[in-house]
Amino acid sequence: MKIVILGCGRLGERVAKKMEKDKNNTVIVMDKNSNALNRLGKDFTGQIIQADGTDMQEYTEVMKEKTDIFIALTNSDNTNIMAAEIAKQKYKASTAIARVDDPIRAKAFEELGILTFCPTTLGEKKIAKLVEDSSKKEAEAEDEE
Amino acid sequence: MKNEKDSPVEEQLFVIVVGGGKMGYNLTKLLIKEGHEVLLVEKDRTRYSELDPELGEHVYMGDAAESETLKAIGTNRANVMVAVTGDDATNLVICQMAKIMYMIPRTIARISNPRNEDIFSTLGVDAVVNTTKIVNSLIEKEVDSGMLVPVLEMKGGKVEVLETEVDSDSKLINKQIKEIKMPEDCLIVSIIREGEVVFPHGNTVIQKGDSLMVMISKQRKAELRNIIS
Repeated sequence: MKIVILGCGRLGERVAKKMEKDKNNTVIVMDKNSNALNRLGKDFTGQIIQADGTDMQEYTEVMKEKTDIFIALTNSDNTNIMAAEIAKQKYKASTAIARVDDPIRAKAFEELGILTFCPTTLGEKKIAKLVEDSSKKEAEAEDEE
Repeated sequence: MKNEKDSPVEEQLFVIVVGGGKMGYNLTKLLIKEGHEVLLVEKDRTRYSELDPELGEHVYMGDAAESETLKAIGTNRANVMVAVTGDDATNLVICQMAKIMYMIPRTIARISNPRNEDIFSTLGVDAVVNTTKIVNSLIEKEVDSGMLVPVLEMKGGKVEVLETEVDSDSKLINKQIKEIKMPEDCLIVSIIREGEVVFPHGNTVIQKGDSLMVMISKQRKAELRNIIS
C-alpha cells in the first residue's frame, strides 16, 4: 500500500514507523519543517519530503501514482482538513484521514467523506474510563472494610 | 412610472467577515456604510483591541474556525460568509463549515497562494478572491491597456467576473451595448461611470473611461479581449 503522512510530530513519526514495518507498504512523510523530519532518524526507509501541506502544487509529484491512504497529522485542524480534502477530491486517495482537535469540526467534515479522529474526544473517553475505574476500586475497597 | 426611491435600495444582508487585517477591516467598514449588518471576527487579542474602539459592536474576538464561535456569533442567520485571513486552509475550512453546518448560501474565501484556486472551487467555496492574482493583474494593467482584471470567480472557476476599463483607443466608445457583438456566454453586468454604478440596457452607450464589469465563461476571454481593444 502507498501511504502518505503529512505532519511529522510525535504522532506522525510513530505512525510512519509503524506503517514502515510492513514491507509491503511504501511510506512517504511530508512536513514543512526539516527539523521535524529529523525525528525519523537514519534508519527510516520511507521517503521524506519537506513541503508545505497547504500548497496544492506540493502534491502533484507525491500523489501522481495512486495513494491508498493519506493521513494528515499536523497540529493545525484546518491544514489537516484541507490536505485530506485535496488528497480525497483532487487525487482520489482511497482513504483520507485527518486529525481534528475540535470535536464538532471533526464531525462536520466526516460528512464530506474524509475520516477524522479527534484526540480531544479520545482523551476525554480515556479519562472518563480511568475515573470510573478508580472510583470502582475505591468502592470495592470500602466494601471490603 | 414607479418612483424608484420608494422601493428599498437593497436587501439588508447579515455578512460575517473573518480576519481583521487590512482587507477585513476595510471590507467591514464598506459594508457597514452600505447599510448591511456586519460582524468582523478577529482571533488575535492585540489586533482585536485595536479594532474595538472604532468598530465596537461590529467586531467580535474569537476563532471562527471553532464551532463554538460560529454558534456564538449567530452564523445561522448569516447570508454571506467572507473569510479573508492570511491563511488559505483557515479560509477554506471556515467557508466549508458555514456551508455544512449552517447552510450559508454564499461563501467567499481569500486565497493567498494562487495554486490553491482550483481546489477551493472544487471543494464548494462559491467565490474566491485571489489577492496575489489581482495585484499581479493590476501591475500588468499598468503596461497593458484593455486588460481584463479578474474580480471574482464563480463556482467551479468556470465563470469569472472581470473588470476592464474603456480607454481612448477602444473600439467600444460611443457604441450602444446592443450594437456590440459580444461573445457567447458573456454579459456586461454593470458599468462604473465616474464612481457611480450604471445598470446597462441595450441602449446604454459606452463612454471613454467607463469601467465595465463583465461576467464571462472562462474560455471566452480571448474573444472578449479582441472585441474590447
